[in-house]
Amino acid sequence: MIRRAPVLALLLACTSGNAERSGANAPPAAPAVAEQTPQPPAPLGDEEGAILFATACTSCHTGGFVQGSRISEKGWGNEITKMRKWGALVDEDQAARFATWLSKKYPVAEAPPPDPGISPAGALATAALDAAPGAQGDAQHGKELFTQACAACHGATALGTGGGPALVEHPVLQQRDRFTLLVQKGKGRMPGYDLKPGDVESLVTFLRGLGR
Amino acid sequence: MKFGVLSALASRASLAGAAKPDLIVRNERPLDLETPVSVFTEEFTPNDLFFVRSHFGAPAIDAANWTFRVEGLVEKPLELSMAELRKLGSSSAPAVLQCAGNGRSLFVPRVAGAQWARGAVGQAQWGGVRLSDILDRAGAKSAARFVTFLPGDHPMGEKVPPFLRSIPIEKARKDVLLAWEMNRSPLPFLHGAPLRAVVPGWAGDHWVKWLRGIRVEEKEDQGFYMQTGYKMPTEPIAPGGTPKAVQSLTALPVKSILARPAEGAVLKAGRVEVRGIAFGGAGPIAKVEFSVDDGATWTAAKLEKSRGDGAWQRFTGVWRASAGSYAILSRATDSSGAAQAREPQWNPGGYLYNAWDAVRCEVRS
Repeated sequence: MIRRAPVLALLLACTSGNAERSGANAPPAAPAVAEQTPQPPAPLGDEEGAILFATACTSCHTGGFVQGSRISEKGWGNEITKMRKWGALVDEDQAARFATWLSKKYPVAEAPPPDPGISPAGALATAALDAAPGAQGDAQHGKELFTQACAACHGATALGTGGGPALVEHPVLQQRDRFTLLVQKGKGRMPGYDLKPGDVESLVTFLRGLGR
Repeated sequence: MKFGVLSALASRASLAGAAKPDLIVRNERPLDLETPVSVFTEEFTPNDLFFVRSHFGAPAIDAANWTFRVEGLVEKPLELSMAELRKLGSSSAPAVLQCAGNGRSLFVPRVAGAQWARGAVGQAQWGGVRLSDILDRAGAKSAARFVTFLPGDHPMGEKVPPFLRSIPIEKARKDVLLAWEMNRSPLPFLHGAPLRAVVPGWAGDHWVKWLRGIRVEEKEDQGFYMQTGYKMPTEPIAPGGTPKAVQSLTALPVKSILARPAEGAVLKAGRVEVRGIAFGGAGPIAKVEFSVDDGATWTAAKLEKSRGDGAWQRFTGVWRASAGSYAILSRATDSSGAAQAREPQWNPGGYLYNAWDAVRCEVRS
């Protein structure tokens, strides 16, 4: 299972964005320390906010849920404080600026936009289970693949981290086609992966074995 | 693994394209689906149109090997299969399930959370075993004060608190069911199969799904969802304000919801039926009235008899409508005299909205 180059490039782009951001927020260089009144941090740029939105929110929520909330800057501040405790990947110095960005990007005054990408039938399909899962795979091979490619974000025991949701007993484990597509194409901040024959079965067999 | 609880999903799929009302998608992940209020002329909300609220999403439970455990302050801890549970007795009751946040999108200023309009509510006939029978069988000790429901859904990450809700043991013994049947069909997967809590008269946050067991305790659970989440101000506060003190929400306040006419309807002058549902956690509804003059005068609607605490009562009013633009308002009063008010009690969680219901319509001669 090999990470695909285009997605890797995208990931690098995101990473460099993070690097620039952390560079900007690094401890001030000598001349800045000498200043009597520190400048307030610059507001998040549109692209910067969008990257943070994708990395911090959409690993657990659909984007529409966040975009449709239309709450105040103070309200976003409270939500971000709560979600940071729960593992959301927002640095402390980003939190207030992200609240400002969200409240300006999705203003209270504008009515929540309908989400044309979701139909009730589609939403229910995502919850439907494949009652006849595919052939049994090699759990040990699945564990190796998981440890190499997935554990960093989904957690060593697949119980989730701020970077990716829990997979234990996740309904997608009963949906072979959807699972395969997800791993191949990626989703949100998750990159796509090339799969060899048998990889899906091995991963699913390993992950299903983690259920309570 | 075998999954025998997908009948509702299958029948849902067969509705595609049919001219029936559809669930409204409020959120895809976690899945939140809202019932269109036009359905509330029915006594029972069909399973495939019943609203869905999920904290972390349905777990893929292997129903064949699933067990329910009773732990904590009991003489005999239990571990029961579905077959064993079914042998412990079968009870059935109609009860309203309403999300604590139903109507959240109607609060001003807006509040974070699932942006429900008016349809995160439904009534079903629930079938299962009485929780009091389980507590008797396990031998709840005299120090036991609370029952905590142990859910099957997994938090999104290790830092996310589990969805743990507790109820006082008096409520647990009074009328709570552990249900495997919904409207005389097997409980659908999205509604908590193989087993969910049914807590008549209380908000939906207590109706825990995918139950793996219960813990009998001296104290309520000390986690986020009992100590921080689902709290209401003890005293009314100004919209947008911060409460001085809060308490856990429990019973539903008195409420009515208009099913007919539909919002934005264009009607013919003459006889118009005003229909809907009314319910509350403090006992039966005594009266429902409607107004078409901004609450200056009210007309009583005909109200069904109560079918028991926790069930809703449908109402039908008759309005002799003449041409014009109107807002139809409805107001319920329960048997203790508590009535819906013009304004909701704003709170930071956006819970328990129960202001007068309202739909706008136009009447043409």
